[in-house]
Amino acid sequence: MNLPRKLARRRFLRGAGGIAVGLPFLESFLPRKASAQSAKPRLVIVYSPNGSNNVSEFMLTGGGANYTFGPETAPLTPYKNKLLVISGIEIKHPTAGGDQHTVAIASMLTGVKTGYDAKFDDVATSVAGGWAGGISVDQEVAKTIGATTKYQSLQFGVQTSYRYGNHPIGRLSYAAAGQPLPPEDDPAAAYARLFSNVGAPTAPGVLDANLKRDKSVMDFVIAEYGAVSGAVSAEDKLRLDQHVSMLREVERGLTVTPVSNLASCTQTSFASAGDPSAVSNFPAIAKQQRDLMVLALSCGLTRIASLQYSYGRSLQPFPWLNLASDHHSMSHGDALGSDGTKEINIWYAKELAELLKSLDAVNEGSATLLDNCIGWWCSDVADGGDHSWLNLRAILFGSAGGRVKTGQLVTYGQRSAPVPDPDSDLNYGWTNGQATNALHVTLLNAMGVPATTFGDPQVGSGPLPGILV
Amino acid sequence: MASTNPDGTPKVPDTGTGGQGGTMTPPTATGPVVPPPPSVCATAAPEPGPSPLRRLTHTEYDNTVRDLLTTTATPARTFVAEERSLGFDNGATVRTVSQLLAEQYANAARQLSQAAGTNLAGTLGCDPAVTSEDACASSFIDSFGLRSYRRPLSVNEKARLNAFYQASKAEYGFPAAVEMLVQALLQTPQFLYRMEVADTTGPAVAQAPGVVQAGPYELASRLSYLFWQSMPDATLLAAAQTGELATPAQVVAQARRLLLDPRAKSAVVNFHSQWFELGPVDHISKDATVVSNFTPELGPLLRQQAEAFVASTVFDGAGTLGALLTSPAGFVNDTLAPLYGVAAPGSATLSPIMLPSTERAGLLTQAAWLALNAKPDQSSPVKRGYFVRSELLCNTPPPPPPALNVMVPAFDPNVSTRQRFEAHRTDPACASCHQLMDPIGLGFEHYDALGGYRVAEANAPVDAKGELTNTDINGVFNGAIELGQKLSSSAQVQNCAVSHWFHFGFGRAETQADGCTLGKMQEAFSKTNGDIRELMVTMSQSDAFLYRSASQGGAL
Repeated sequence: MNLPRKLARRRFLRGAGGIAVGLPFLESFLPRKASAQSAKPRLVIVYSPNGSNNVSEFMLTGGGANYTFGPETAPLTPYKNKLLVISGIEIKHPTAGGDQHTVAIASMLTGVKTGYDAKFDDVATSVAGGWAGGISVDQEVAKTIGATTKYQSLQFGVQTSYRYGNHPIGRLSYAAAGQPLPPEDDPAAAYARLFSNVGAPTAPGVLDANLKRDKSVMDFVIAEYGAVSGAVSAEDKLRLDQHVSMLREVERGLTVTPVSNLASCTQTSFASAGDPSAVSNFPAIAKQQRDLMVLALSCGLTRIASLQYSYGRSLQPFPWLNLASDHHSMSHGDALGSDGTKEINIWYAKELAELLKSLDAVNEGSATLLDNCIGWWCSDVADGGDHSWLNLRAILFGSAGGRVKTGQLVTYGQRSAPVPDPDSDLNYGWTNGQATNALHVTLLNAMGVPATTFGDPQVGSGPLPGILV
Repeated sequence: MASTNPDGTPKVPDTGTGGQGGTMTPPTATGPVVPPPPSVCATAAPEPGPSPLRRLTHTEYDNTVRDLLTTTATPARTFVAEERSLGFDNGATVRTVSQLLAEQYANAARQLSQAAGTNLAGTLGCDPAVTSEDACASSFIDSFGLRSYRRPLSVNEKARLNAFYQASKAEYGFPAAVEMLVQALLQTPQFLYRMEVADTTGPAVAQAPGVVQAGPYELASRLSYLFWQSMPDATLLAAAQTGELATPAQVVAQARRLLLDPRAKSAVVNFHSQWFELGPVDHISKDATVVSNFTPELGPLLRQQAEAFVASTVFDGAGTLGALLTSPAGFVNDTLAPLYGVAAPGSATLSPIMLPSTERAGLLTQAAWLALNAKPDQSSPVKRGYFVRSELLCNTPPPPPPALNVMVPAFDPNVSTRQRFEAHRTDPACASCHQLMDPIGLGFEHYDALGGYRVAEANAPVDAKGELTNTDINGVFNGAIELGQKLSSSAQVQNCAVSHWFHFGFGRAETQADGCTLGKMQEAFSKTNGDIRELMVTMSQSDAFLYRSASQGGAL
């Protein structure tokens, strides 16, 4: 049987089990030459859950270029000059009911009051909340600049959805209010999606027979949605309209020249790291997703990507760190021996350092891919023990191609109460901080999207002072 | 902030400026739905409540393509995870389609159509050499379209498909054009959604303006997706065509027929698997230093064990909710036998067995549920108590208040779980909510992090005394077996199960219009002592099932 390329590749992937191919070693494989297309700024969101239990050990201290890392962030030290650390960012917009992790993750990139939906309460554990109440900042950028790439944006996940499914507790990106974009949690599927179709169309607008067939089918399907949408109620029509808007995006992707023709983008291979849902595979899956994200960004498949580890209120165990309990339990002190959260955050900081290393290894002419990124490492809560939304994690990386002043720590407002006990930040307060919304505006501006407000305009405008060049 | 007040009564949902996805989600019913007396419902005009457009769940998708294309492929297993609302994967108004899912539908349709193309003659059901290619394609559109859309196609739908076929044939030839028809049909809204519209409606109901009977093909799908989570079979489609789904009695007859099919067993297991959260058991992980007998292979095995228990109890045993909560029957294989302290059956296959009756009785004493509702290194009275109150008594405690620094005493093998959680009762900030969970959850202290039975913890005998408050079965109990007996005698638990069945069956929350539907289900469940299959049959006789609001839209 003459299988179309995509299917053939999928079969090959499955059939290739046991052959130790694997993703190319990035540093030796990535483009070394500048390309006009790839030098555009990229937006990268990295998320890891449950904040820190020792904010003073996590957050960096000092001011301006004179800042120092805490024990939990020390792995980032080599990239000090390419980081922008911000203190005093908080969720200021009104929030609806629900579990605080859930509300925070739904708010993190949207900056607007979340929907509250009692239908999500009934989950057998005490998670509750609702979809975000508006578009997320990454999607706002995607809407504006994403139409030139095969994918407007890509969401990579590491075990984000096996526990709670497609639930507000695990969603960061929203195409619009109530329209979450779930990450792909399976690197094999992500690889097949991104790289099995490399090379076609051969030139813009030139489709081979298989793509033409797919596009013809998609055209029919889209027309069929239009033909029947008048038969359903106004409310149901909104659901069909939302569905068809996604189909149009799939169809657009079929016609976009997907990648640069660099060898690193066309001669890829992949070996499974095992069951993407298995706890013990978490680090291996994370590495593959990280590498795929760097490849997708460097190959021009997208300019907007996120890498999400686990989900809000994460119950992830860390057996490879010899920690007995799960992350959320540990963040509330319920663990044998060490509270474990320090080791976990150090592990996540090392993960970020590995990502920065990969991004920085991609030469794009006068700058590296890292330089051309603007990234935000965020978490749902600042403090895992008391769920504080004050002084949230805002470690930014890359300068968006020189638009952002890196190598500095900027503080907005000040700590309102001294930390009473180095091991506990109970009553840790903050006054005169900046709203997450101001950070969103800063990201939009860094990506070349004009804006002065984002999300809820009542709680703050931007950009943040002292950051953009 | 909380969805419920501390006493468990629902709070009015916040419908502030943020909204919840704009206008896509209907207002949630405020306050509990209290069924009117049966005498009132007996003479009341039918009130069907809303029937939002339902997209096939991933399970329904796989089952439907299995029955439609006679394939063993299960493409939806790799689709993105589904929304879970009200405990189930089919909440019509919260489910969304992302680009990723749209691509996955497209890929699945391509692969399934290619597989169908390898047996073109079988797929077509006619011979293009005998009739003509176009006549054969036209008859294929009629017959395959009927089964894909689960109803006859409208004239316009046929015309659109024929035009698409002609264009495809001109460009790619006949076999490809047939494949493309299948590829397209599997992505249409008529296939992916269960469309109940003007073209498919039943007769108006004289005494209830704006209400119509569900149309015959709509009823065929309502039946097949409730009882089988799949498309109607030929018998159901024929009954719809010949007007044999016109009366409630005819619907009941079909419901009872469907219950005899193995597909009904899968649907009932699926309901309980979602209710008792058995799916995530596949991914449990336990700390090897504390739970030395744990291996990752145990997760799926524990889930299968619990599912086998549900299937056999409902279909081969007493068939009641009470039995699910009290029966010491169980299934083990050689791997699981040691966990339950029973003799290995000498087989890797799960085999029926009576578990030690002083240690195990019902789903809440089986390791799947116990292990999920525990931590990697210890039991969890909070999770277990929370589940019982939230999922079995439908009395959900609120989440922790904002800015409460929740730090519990660290796990210490020399201090019993009961002692460590004492703070929840002595600290007033914790006690107001935890008194709703911990006293129930501590009744499970005989079961460790993996669900193994223990008589001692921290060098002292286990104290598994618990207490139920704020329920219709208040009082102390000793251990989970007594708790199961109390729960199985509770009308509150029965009504809670009915509420879950309502969500599962209708893909939505109950509204004030559903009083008589809920009342009918509650009454039937109570009268049959919690017979699960009878409850399903009763659902097929409810207003929400037999009727719907008149369509507001136009033709297909």
